[in-house]
Amino acid sequence: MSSYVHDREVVTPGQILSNDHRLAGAYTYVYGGKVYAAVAGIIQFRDSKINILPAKSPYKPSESDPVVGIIIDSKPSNYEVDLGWHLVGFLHNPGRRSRMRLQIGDVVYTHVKHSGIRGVFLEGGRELVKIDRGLLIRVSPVKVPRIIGKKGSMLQILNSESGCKLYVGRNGLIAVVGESPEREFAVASAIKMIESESHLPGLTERVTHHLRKKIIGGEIVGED
Amino acid sequence: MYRIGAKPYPTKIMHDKLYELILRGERLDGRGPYQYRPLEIKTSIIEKTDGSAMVNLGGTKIIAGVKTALGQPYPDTPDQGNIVVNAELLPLASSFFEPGPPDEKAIELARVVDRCIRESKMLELDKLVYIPGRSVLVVYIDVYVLDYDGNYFDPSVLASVAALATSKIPLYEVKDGEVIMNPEIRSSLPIRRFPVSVTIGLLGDKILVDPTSLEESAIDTSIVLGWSDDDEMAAIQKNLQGLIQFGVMDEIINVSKEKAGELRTRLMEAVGRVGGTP
Amino acid sequence: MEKTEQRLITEDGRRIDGRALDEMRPVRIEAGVLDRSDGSAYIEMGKTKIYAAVYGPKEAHPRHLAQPHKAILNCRYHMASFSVEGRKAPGMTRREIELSKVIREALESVVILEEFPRSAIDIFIEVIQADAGTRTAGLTAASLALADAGIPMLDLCAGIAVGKVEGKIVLDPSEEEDKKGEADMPVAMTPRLGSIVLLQLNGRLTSAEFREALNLAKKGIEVLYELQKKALSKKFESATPLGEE
Repeated sequence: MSSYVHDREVVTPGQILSNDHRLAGAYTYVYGGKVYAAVAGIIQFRDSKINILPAKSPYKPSESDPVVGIIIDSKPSNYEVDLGWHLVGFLHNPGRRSRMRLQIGDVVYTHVKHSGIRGVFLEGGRELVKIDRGLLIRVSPVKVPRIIGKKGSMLQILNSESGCKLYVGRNGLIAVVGESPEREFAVASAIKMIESESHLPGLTERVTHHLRKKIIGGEIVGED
Repeated sequence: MYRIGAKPYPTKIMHDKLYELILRGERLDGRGPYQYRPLEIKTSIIEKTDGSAMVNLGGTKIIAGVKTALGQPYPDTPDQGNIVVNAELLPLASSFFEPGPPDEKAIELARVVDRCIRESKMLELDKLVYIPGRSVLVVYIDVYVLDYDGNYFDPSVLASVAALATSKIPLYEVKDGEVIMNPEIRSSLPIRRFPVSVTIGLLGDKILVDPTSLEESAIDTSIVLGWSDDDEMAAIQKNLQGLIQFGVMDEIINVSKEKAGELRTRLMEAVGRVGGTP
Repeated sequence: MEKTEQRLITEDGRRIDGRALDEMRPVRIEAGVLDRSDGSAYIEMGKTKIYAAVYGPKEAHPRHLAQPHKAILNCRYHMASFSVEGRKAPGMTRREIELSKVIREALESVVILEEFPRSAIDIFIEVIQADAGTRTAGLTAASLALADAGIPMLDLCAGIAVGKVEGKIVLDPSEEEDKKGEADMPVAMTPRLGSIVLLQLNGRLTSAEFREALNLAKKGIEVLYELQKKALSKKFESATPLGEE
């Protein structure tokens, strides 16, 4: 084994991970043929690579990412959409032919059409959803896969236990739409729990327990 | 307590949610409308000051430091010491704050803190005169916002007053018409009372105490009331655009008066003046 | 000038604050101390107390400063008015502008800027008490704040000053030693890569003394580096209790 670290080990930037440059995975870099950590995080061996799962990381948009954003400007040809993390995406403004009127301050859910040197461009067609009520929360983008879970399992629990609809942006913005603020808050606190405990085992059970404790017959039980 | 995001987003759905909750007497972070966020006051943290304090109010962190020096009195107050308040909204505290000289918001903050201290007659400025018309004590209060999650007024007043109340200034003696400093002998500033301020946000005719920055982005307007004593105000600042309905003023006064009492108790505990007048 | 009245170093090689020549002041380093920023850190070295915060990557302003192939770093080293003896007038001094530049350049050599083309990363260093060694402590905190923000870096960097006091090379000079000593040399390194990212000298050293001083700084930097790593690892170890914040 040409690796200096074990699975789930905590590493910090500059730490040597391997002598074999072919093992370089996410959040690592190769220098002089060796693999080093570029961020602080937890080691994950996956697809025969050494990857790091960081605690925090800036969001880097890539094509077809689902995103939640806020309309911050409306121009004749484009809407500007705040994607959080100091990132602004562009959404084509179809003008009067538009099936929905968007205004500054509206929250939308869509996908990244293209991200490149000229900016981030968002899908404006049928994929675009305007979210007109609910709770908007923000998590670290690196934790979004844990909030979705394997094959959407965690999202399924959040949805079925609370009855809330969730719009999860890969950019870390999440809109929770439920029939009562109590249910939305229960989901918000469960998401915060996933964010802070994603590296600990038994997360699914704890999230289910947490949601059941909070929501019994739509009433809120106990207070944080 | 719920924490909704690290940064405030002035979005329509969050405004609607705030309003929906306020109508039910609730708030996004689980507080009641008249409830302050957790408050922590630490004093004497900067050894190079004559007095200093750090105040955490929820996610807002303020540091204040007091330095004193000899100076000339203002021509219109030859028999009083001087107070100089400076405040800066540091860019490390929020992405809304820009580097550079104090802008209008920072200057407003400094002036509101100044008024709370000056107009309440917190310090016995006439005792800070060494040679009338020529040599008085100048008290510099520097306030820095280190982390900003709404309402920088109240923790800035708390930090400034706590720093003043715990300041130890050198002894100044007049010998042969000259003022001589003796840094070995230090004493407290002459303090009469403990002003505090209470910031109230308004959403229609509903009021909420100590708004967070998310709430600040959604409320119609806000008002800061500086209470010099149990039943005496020394400074008021309506802050932000927007309307205050005339009929709500009674509730604002009653709530802020009660909250001022609570804050003053916490402040006096923090500076070691429990249950007594100074 | 030749001999100060009070000796700064005793016959048995102790300094006036009781430290050995190669001993640094007590250090405290924390990561993630300011919630609004994308990354932050706090450092205390003796009475020197500094906050650092990072915002970004974000859009570069004004836009013509943006680089098509990499991010730009902005760095502001600033001292609170009450941080020094007497009172510093508000606003940036020439010294603060120079230090902002050398700290920024040190960090530019470790941050993987190519990851974020056309964007800017803002670094704010706020000295709330200055008692010698603020530029190196500020850099140490800023580097930790960048790592706390999850910005990819080749290595952390840490810095410390070394000085020459009454003919002796000392680690982490106190303010008094800095003022009365013959030389002050701030050094910062990327410990794992073993490279120097900041080096200044203020005063006179022979080449032998310089070599001794540099090696002494390296020893100190390694200690700080361990503390930085500990501060970063801490957030992975401290599990929050169920459902509480």
